[in-house]
Amino acid sequence: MNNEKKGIRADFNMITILTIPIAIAINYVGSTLAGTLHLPIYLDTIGTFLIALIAGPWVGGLTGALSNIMVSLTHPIAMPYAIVSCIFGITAGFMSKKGMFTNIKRFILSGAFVVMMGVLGTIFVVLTFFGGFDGSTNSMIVAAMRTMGVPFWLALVIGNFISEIPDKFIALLVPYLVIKGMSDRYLYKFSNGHIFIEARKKAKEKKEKKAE
Amino acid sequence: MDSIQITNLTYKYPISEEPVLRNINLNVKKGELCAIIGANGSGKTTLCNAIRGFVPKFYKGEISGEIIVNGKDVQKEEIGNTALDIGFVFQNPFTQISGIAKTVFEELAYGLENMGIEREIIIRRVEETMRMTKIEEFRDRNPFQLSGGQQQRVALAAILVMGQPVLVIDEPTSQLDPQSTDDVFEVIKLMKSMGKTIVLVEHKMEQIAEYADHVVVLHKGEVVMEGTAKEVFSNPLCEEYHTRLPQCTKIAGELKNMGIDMEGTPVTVEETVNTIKAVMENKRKEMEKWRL
Amino acid sequence: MNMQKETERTQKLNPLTILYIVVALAVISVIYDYKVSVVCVIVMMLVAAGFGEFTSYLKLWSRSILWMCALCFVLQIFFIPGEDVIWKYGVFQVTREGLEQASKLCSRLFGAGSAAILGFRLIDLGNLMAVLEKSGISPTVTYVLMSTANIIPQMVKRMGAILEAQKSRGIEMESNMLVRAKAFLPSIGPLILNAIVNAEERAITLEARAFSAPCRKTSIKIIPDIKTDKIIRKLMIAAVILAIGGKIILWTAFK
Repeated sequence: MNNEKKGIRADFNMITILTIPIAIAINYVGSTLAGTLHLPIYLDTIGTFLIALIAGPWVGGLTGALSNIMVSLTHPIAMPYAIVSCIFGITAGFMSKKGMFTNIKRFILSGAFVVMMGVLGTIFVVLTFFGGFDGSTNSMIVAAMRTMGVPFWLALVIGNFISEIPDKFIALLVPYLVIKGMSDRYLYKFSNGHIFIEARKKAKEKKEKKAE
Repeated sequence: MDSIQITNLTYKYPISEEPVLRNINLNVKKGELCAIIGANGSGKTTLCNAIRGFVPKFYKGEISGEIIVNGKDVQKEEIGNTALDIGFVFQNPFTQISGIAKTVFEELAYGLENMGIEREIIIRRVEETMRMTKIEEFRDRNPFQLSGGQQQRVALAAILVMGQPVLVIDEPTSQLDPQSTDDVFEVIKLMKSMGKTIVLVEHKMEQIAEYADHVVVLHKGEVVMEGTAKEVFSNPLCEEYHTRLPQCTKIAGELKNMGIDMEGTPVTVEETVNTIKAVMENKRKEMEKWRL
Repeated sequence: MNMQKETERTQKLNPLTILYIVVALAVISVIYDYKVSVVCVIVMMLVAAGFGEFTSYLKLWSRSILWMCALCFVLQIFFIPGEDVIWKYGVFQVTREGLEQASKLCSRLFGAGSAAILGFRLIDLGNLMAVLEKSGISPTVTYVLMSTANIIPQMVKRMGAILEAQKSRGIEMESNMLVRAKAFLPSIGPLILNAIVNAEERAITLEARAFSAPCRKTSIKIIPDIKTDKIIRKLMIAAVILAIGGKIILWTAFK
């Protein structure tokens, strides 16, 4: 393939840079929409995952961190979670680079891994910055478990899994489906795009073979 | 002198099988308005992108042949450098807003700021351009809050203000209503009167017949016809390439079919009126002769 | 008229100076205990008042920071584990460790959070970016930040339109959770796809406007940077250094 560059610099090409604000806006709109629909999850990482999947871990990590910084201007509690968002972007980006979001089986595996990282990161942040309780619904669950006599650590782990599993799977599913709906022409311009295009080609060939 | 010289240009998008542009040779003279017409998918937009250098730098893919604009090889230039030589306007008014300007004034100034022009000169040039393109009334409005037609005029003005000698304008009116279309063509007329070399893709044949010096018909990525508006539209082959004819030309054609003897094929309203007048004059003279 | 007023207000001080004030107050309140944080927040209120933004700041502040800190504090004193119980009622108990940690963490949140929204209220992003660009920050960085701030309201508006359309198509926003969850994807999917497609055209727009032209960029914005600005900035740097130094001395003496 001609004129294809490699490396971090190539990850940050013009179109990717212009997609970063859009990804941040998607995060914002996602969480607003989840609020409007009274869904019990955040859905504030859809944009981060989308850009991480198509443009790689560095763009994803940067978008995640930047997104939280933007939100924290009006909602300061989000600031320390920039670390977690950054981890989400990097993790999803790396998995995507390894082709781990190209079919539904791999998607579930990657999703589980992202959730794991999310739980670890969130526990780290919530302990260091908030002593375990940041006032979110999640910390209400942990508090409720504490009153029932569940030990602190266990309550933290369970509480976070309860909120992270549905949240991250849906937040990953949206970009997964959106990428399916994106034409090759658009995907091609992002540094991870060719992974999805090639996977698509292979799946098509397989289908054709089966039909024969 | 030729502002744009294209020789043996062939181009294929990265994921497509077939080339979209095939062996194109085209010269556009300095100060000329060159209209590119043809059916959908004939490669008009791709040709625009190639002249500006977005093909292949932005869209990737395989290219062969040469594009020289103002003596510079577009493919060898940095994509950022070409901005100083070629202005570019396209269909969608909404995405031609820079996205960071708070007012139309700032929107127009943005390109000049990027070019590193001094503040006083920027302000003078923006004022002047706003006056010429008649968008002064939007001056302090947020560009996002303008209508499509207004946004398109702002987009044209934002390019015009940058002062490039060559302008590539790709279907500027396809998403606009008739009134806005007229407004946009007013700006294009202004650009032409300023001596700009213009490559224009457009579906509105009436306007092309009126303003274009040079018409090129593309069909399946190839240049199939070329000449003045009159030459192209009066050629019966024209309709085979799925291009619409100007209304006037159609009317004239139908009159001819009805057996009215007309000289040549008119392409603009004025010409048609004159031709029909001439026919009627002849008829009157004939009638008078007959009466005598 | 309105616009004039706005520029006057924001041009009182250079945006960079306001940023220095905000960051200094945040740093000082984070490294000391709640008493200092309270003082810092009072100073922030005064700064807001100085810009004629007292009521708007107070409104935003009491709605977000005050409420948030109170909630965190209550949760933390009751549920952070500890040995030394000082108050007990049923399953709820307050420990000395919990109280100590809660007051420490919440005072930080209180100080830093109040500073963040003060900055948000007082700094004009466009002006700040113009200043930063002049001092050598890459235009790409400033573009991303500016464009994010502009795109969010645009997208929220479009989201509203899509939601309206969904409602008129009979999708109930008030019914059970599964129905509401099902409304999520068709609402956000087209929005995302459309936005991505637009990104490509916007890239072309920026290239057409010489975004990546190899020139030194200029700006039509004149943002005054007067002597007062420079003095305040130096004072702020000094305050932060003193605060950190003082903290280190206290810390070593205490040890």
